[in-house]
Amino acid sequence: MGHGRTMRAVVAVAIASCVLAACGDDGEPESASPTGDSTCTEGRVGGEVTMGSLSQVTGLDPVVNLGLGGTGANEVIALYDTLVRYDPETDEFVPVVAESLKPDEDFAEWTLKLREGVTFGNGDALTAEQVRDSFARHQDPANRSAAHRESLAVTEMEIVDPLTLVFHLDEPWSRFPTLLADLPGMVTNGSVVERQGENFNTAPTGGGVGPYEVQTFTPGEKLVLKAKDDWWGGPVCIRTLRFVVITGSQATYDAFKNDDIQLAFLRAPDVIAQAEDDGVQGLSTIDNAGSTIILNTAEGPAADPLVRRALAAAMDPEVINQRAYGGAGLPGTALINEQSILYDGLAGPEPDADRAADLVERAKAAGWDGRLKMPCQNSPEGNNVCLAMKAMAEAAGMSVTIEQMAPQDFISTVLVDRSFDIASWSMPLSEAEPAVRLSAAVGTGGGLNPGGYSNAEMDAALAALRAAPDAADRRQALAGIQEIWNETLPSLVIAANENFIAISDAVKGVRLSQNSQIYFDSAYVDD
Amino acid sequence: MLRSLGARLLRLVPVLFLVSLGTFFLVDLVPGDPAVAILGSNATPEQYEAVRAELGLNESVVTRYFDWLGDTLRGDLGESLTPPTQSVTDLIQSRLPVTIQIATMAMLISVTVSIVLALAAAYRPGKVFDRVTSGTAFAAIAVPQFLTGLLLIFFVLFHTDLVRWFVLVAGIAGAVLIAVRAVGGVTDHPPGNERVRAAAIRAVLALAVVGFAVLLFARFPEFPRQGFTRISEDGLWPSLRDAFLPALTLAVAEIAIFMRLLRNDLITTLQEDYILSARAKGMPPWRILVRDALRPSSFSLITVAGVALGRLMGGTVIVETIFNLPGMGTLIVNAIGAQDVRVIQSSVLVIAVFYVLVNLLVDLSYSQLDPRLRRGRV
Repeated sequence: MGHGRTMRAVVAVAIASCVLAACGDDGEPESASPTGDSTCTEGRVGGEVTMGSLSQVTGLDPVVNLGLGGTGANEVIALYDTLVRYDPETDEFVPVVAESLKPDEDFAEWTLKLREGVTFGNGDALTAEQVRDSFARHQDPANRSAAHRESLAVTEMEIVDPLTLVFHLDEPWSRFPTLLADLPGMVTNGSVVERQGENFNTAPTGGGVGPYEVQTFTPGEKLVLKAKDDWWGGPVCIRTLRFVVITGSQATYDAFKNDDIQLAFLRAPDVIAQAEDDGVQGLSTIDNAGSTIILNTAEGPAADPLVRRALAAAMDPEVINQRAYGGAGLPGTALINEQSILYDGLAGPEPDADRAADLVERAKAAGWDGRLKMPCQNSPEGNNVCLAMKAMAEAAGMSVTIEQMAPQDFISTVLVDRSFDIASWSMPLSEAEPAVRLSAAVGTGGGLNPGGYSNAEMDAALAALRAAPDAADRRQALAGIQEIWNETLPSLVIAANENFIAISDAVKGVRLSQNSQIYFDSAYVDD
Repeated sequence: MLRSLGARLLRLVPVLFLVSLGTFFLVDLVPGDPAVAILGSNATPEQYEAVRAELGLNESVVTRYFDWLGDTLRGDLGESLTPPTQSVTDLIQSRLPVTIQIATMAMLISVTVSIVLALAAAYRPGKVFDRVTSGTAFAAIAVPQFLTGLLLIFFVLFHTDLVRWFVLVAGIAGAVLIAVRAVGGVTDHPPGNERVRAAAIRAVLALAVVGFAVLLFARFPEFPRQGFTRISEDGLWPSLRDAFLPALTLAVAEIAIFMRLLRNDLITTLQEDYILSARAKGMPPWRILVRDALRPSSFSLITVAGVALGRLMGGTVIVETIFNLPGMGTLIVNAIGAQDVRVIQSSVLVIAVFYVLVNLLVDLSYSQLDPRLRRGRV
């Protein structure tokens, strides 16, 4: 058994090293994206592109940015690039600013080798010291980075030479590159950060190694980026890149159809369905368990496993899908949706109204009064989901009190005050690395675990997932987690969420990464 | 005059104080948590608590109000609470011109169109044109602003050909009607130069109408679904083009109100003895309408237009949201969502200042328009 694990680790290291190093030697390979296999060349330089994002970028400093594709990550990727990128086609991480990223035998140490000749916008050379200092900004709690929790996995950073840095982790993590493909992998120039002070968040000129610099940033209105003329990575084809925020997926898609914008980040299932019906090309990603029902397992009625089982039997994802999304969503009770690359036939608990009623009877017989408190967001979608949940719970004999509140109050009520029995929630699991969010959501003491779930078996299963050396082992670990999940019901999965980035026929070479993040490094406008 | 102006300005101070007080306490009742807006939904409870303490949100609302008032009186509007944090003064300086442009364009469209329609309707009250415009005006007043905006988007942006053909057909029909009226009304004028001149004017008018319709049909502007180009960025035309549909959305209901108001006042004025005298002297109808009747009929219009301009300044929220315009409306809406009290307070105060100043100007304009008021004061 031990020998088998070692062999798997060796094979995984060999494959990972091969992929990362090989790609680093010859430059990033052209990925077969829906936008075409080709890349930017000198002859294709020129053009402007506008992208409609989901929400306003909170800032251009990676320690302030929220790091998701629709909420500002694409903007900062264009400014800073990332050390590595997740390639959904191969399910591997490929080097971008890094030349290679190699793990040791048990994935507890990762050696990062930087490319030579990489420079920041102000001309400073990229060094291992800059990477270390930049990463440390995410570990500093004062900066409140969205990647703070994950960045603490790195216990020490050792500079080997000006272009080599070794990350020492607190425990084995086979998908550690996910971190360097995200906010902590966007290296900021320490001298520019220091010089700009608080203004760095809105005016980081010269502070990144990405292909673009900020031309104008009018928060709440638009961000205009201009291409660098002498980018270390070669020509930058799209000369002007604009990001705007349009309220609502339908309005965003309308603007796309009117050619006001050439890329549109869409999340509403009915609008995505429209785009697909219209034959719009684009990049689609799945957030597994993007819609869930969180259960307060620490206190209140949902702390009783019998009540949780009753709820699991009562909640039919298809009913919620019909009511809230007109049947256009991706309903399912499994942690991993069948459209995901991680799907391996996992099944969640089956809804069964009769069994739900029976379980409710039993719980009532044991002393439960049948009442549940459910805070709800007062948005159209939130209302529809809550009403469907209430209807199904009450059909099984429960009595649900809905408490309407603004989205921000809802988050406070659930996450901070923990004043709920059940609530519509989200636990988006990245295809690249589901372990990060799963650990936060259902790991003992996890930062996003307001339900207070704690289970030693689950913790062990999560550790196994984190250390799983290859895709097969990850799927196997996920199967183990699903089994414990079905048995203990930390919360209920009701759907996966699809994110769709609609892309105009004229725009080619856009590359996709994790969390719906995209890269414009090699993109161009095909006239 | 200056003394009167000073007294009026002084009266604004308590109004603005009450506005700021009311806004602050109302905003405090609005649900929302700036800490969530700052950190997103993935932070820990400890992080949210730390941000609240840092922002002083744990202080009492009274303390926070007087802190804000003190800073404002010193000319410091502070920085926005939610990231990316920026100077509230800069934010307002960036957003206010957009709202002013949209509101001004809406007002210009409303006043121009409503005057033309009201003159035409009042010229022959109770006839076909008057009935059609009155009926349409009632319909336009009844349609909510957001629906007007969405209908304009639906037709102008996504069924452009339909609109182009409609414009062409309507233009040709209008020109034909003018021509028919010219032929039918030729005997209204005495034979000779007067009759020729009247016929020539109508012919030119008909040609202008059909020419404008053909021009629009051939070169219909490409309006954006969303966004705004500032005059300082790409010049006047792109900015006017981007602002046209939002301004028209705002203008539709105002046109209807102004038109009905002015039409009624014009009909009353046209019954005055001096108008009958002018008619008896053989003055042309356009001269009687424009030079003799319009000015004394415009007092109600000016009053309502003044109030409407102030209302448009604060009421562009819906249109700015629909067309995704970076104006004061969206600034306030987004700030309310994030409970960014500093931005809300300052923005509302700026709108209130604008509103009361516009009304002050309307008051002052009366005395300029009607000499009797000046003499009465003396």
